[in-house]
Amino acid sequence: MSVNKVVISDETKLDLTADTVDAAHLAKGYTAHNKKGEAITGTMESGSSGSGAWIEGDWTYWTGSPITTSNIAYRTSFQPKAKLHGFAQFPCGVFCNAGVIGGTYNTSTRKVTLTYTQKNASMGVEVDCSDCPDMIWLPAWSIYNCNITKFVAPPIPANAAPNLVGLDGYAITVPYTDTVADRPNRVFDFRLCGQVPSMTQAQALGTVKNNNADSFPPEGLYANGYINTITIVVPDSLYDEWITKTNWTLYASAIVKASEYTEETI
Amino acid sequence: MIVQEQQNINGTNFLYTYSDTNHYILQNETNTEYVSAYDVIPCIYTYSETNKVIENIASEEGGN
Repeated sequence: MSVNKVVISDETKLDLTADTVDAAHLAKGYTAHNKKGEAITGTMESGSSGSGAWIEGDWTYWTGSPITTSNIAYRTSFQPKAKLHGFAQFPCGVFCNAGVIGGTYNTSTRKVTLTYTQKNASMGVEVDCSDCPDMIWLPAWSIYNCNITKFVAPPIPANAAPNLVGLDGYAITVPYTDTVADRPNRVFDFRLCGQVPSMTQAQALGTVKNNNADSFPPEGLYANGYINTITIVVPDSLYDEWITKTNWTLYASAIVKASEYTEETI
Repeated sequence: MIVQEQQNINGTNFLYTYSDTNHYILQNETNTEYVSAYDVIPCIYTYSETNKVIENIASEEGGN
């Protein structure tokens, strides 16, 4: 017989009757007792209701189909919005679109490794989807319905990482520049960040040109000689800290609160 | 040696801090290492030079 309440000399020593835990809401494999005092073993798949999800709808911005490793390699084949939303939704807004050349999915570990290049070196970004029961892997690399539960950035060779941003403890390459002359905008989406990352290299998101002399163009942001403007989307709660933080402050005019960011900003 | 310069960029004054011997600089208050640092003025941080040499980091990515 299960026991869910113990009273000794009118004093309640144990009372499980109001507990809410049940097998469906307890992590898989863990044990506890429910409100009836019955031993239960959790069945909930961790991560199945987590946050930081890869957003399925983002792919609607992709105007070509299907996505293949070959057209991923050619950035010019992407529409700007695809570049923004298609690849920008790693936890903490890691933006790794440029240079992505493909990916592999390990069916045993359920880990996805995206490969991209910087300065002639290949680097991998590993996304752990092992706790993501809803994940669908397509022949061409794509991730749908996936709650990304872990992001692992590998060590980046010094000669391959021209622009490093220390991002919540990770050293992340943020490929910001583009050899496409008319790239209209780049959006760095940090809405999922819980803290302001350290930008360890000044002007890591693009060279800020001094336009005090009314030089052309007025935007002030350059990269590789081409005009780029950028938008940096940050959580409202971190906005004040973000615009004054070391090196980020150079981009203060480009930083917008998430609540004020709209597609029209692009 | 730590070098600090005041730079006016697009109408805003910044304090630019770097090492003239190509070393990482340490933001003492946050214990964060930077290649170089732009801060708003007045700057609330202090910096010291580390022993870590900055390896060859290109200023811009060339793309592929």
